[in-house]
Amino acid sequence: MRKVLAIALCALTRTARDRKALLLFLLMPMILIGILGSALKGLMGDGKINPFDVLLVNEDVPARPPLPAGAPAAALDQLPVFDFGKLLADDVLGSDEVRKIIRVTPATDLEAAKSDVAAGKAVAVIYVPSTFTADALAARPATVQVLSDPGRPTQAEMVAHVVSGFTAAVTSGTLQSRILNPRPVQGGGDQGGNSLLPGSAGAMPRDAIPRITEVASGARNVSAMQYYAAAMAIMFMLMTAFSRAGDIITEREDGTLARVLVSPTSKATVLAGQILGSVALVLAQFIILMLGTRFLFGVYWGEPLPALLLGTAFALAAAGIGTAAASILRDPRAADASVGLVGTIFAALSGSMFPLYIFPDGLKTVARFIPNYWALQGFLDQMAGLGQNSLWLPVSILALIGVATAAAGAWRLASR
Amino acid sequence: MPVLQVHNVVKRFGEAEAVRGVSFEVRRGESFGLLGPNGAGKSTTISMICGLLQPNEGEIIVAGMNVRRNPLAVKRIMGVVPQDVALYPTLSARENLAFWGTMYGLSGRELRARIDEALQIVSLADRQKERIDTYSGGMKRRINIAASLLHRPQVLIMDEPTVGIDPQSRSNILKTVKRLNGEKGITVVYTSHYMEEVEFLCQRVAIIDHGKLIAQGTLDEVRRLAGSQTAVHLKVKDPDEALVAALSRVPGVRQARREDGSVIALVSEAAETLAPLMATISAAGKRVTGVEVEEPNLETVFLHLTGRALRD
Repeated sequence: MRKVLAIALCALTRTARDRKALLLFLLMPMILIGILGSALKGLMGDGKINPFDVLLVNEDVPARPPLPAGAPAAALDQLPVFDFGKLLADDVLGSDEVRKIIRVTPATDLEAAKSDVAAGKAVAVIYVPSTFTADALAARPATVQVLSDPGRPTQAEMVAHVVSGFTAAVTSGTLQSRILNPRPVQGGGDQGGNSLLPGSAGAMPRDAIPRITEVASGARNVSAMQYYAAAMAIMFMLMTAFSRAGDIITEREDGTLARVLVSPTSKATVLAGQILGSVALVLAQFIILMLGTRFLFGVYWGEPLPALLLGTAFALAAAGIGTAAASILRDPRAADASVGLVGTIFAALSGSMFPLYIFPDGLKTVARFIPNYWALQGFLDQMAGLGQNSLWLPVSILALIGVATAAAGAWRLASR
Repeated sequence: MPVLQVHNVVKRFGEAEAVRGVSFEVRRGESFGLLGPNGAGKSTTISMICGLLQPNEGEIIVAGMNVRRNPLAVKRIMGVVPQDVALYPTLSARENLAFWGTMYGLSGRELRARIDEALQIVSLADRQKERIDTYSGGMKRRINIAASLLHRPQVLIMDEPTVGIDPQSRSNILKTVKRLNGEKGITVVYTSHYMEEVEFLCQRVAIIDHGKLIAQGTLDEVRRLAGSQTAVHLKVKDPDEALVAALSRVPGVRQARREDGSVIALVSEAAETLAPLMATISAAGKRVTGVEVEEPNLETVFLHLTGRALRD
């Protein structure tokens, strides 16, 4: 382990003494963040989130659960009637907390509502189909559609989060179970919200409503400065990882790698040290950029620990890709060229240069195959205050990319 | 008792055979020279001894251990000075030595003491905090050697450690190596295409050319392979093949060849042959502008065995 750390520390020290690298990987992104964040402030907003409009087209028809097998038809009248569409409209979207952020306006014509969204009159339209309650009670797939304005991803994400939390509770059966079998409440207070289900055995319990209020109250828009802080940090972190690929190739050329290998040090130790050095270098760069943008430009990166976790996951992915590049490229000059080329292409395709929502659908699909995309979405979600639920997917994908590419690169390097 | 045994080693790179059945032994405590022109197979042989390359055939034994089967154990007792300066230029000499010492398993107080010792050996203790990229070529070469001494190796492999440096630094390095071998008893395997270095350092020598050993033994044994031949370098204006042929027929001349603006004649007795050689040149209508007589050495041995100069 001491040898692994020594190899990693050696890589860190050499980079720290390389003025050109420091200028390129620390000063350059800070300058770009300052320029882009200031220049595009008018287009992307200043970070505050204001209440926004959403249209609700609720065509849902109240329904009873299906009769248990063998039960007489007359027993149907004894079953309670559910109306999940109304529940969504009144108890969820109509709750005080949500109404602070989302202004819901009922609508009847879905096509007209879509046109209003396209015209920018509302952020999204929520469409509850007529069979929603019946499908949910019969354990068939039941969905509520959210059709949103791609130009306002944060608000759209909030609406989607609210609706998906509700539909998950409905389709899993937990909501109906809680309505029919309410928990006793200490002090005998009110157990639920509106009693809106004629013939129902119970009322809607407040604690059965998905925890949407936290999402809504914590949410904020992402400013241009925040957007480009994350975007540029990601772009330059990948470039740093590629420059490490160049370092590894240079070590092979100048004989230092061979010298390590004639010492009693295994190839596995050398590779582990090199990969650890890359991860540590990229992570150090991220921390410096995060702190630098925080103090220079007031960029809020979300809660520190989730942001650090995302940064670590991306550092792993970038280091893995850098290791794989080192195993493919044979010339340090080719690695130098690829620093700019691959870094720029990845950045452009993943939304680091222009916001992804202005991309056509095909490019949006391509972006999902690039690690930068997952890192950027992860950081934007944390900056928007979407909480830890939105953290695990990007962290898992980035860690997976990192482990897979590092393993492939290490295998190729070891077999050379 | 041999500390290094190389048995019938073959190394191929695709169709090309870089090393073709090389065998030699190095005794404990001796200084052994591996001499040959560039591209002869010296570095490939060294790379196989170090475990960097695997031979296609044959085996290499170091201190009783097979390099292929016990690579890490062999590497612990072997120091390697690579042909190129393999150091990190932006780290100081001391930082470099600390890194390489760690690679050999040293740490803490022991590592610090070994670094001090190595710096003393190469006489660079006073410059230890300076970055390698501020060093002269000779100083870099000395730190390159110091890095291979930290773990006190039993066998020191030196692959052309003086390439591209000034004569003063070269002399300093040669004296250091001689001291390591003589005073500390380190077995040295020294490759070079400078025969004077090998003659200065080594007790025994092997000559390699085109991947094959063409001679080996003590310095005297190898010198005797060329008989008592002396090389007479005759500087002649515009030498031609007809002149070379005429010189080859002079009694006492074993071989004559043209090289740049000279003709080199290998003779048994220089004193007796010199006058007929000069007369032959005059008879051919040529003029001699200089004469140099070279007593038998490894260069003449190589010339005798291959018909080429060592540095061709």
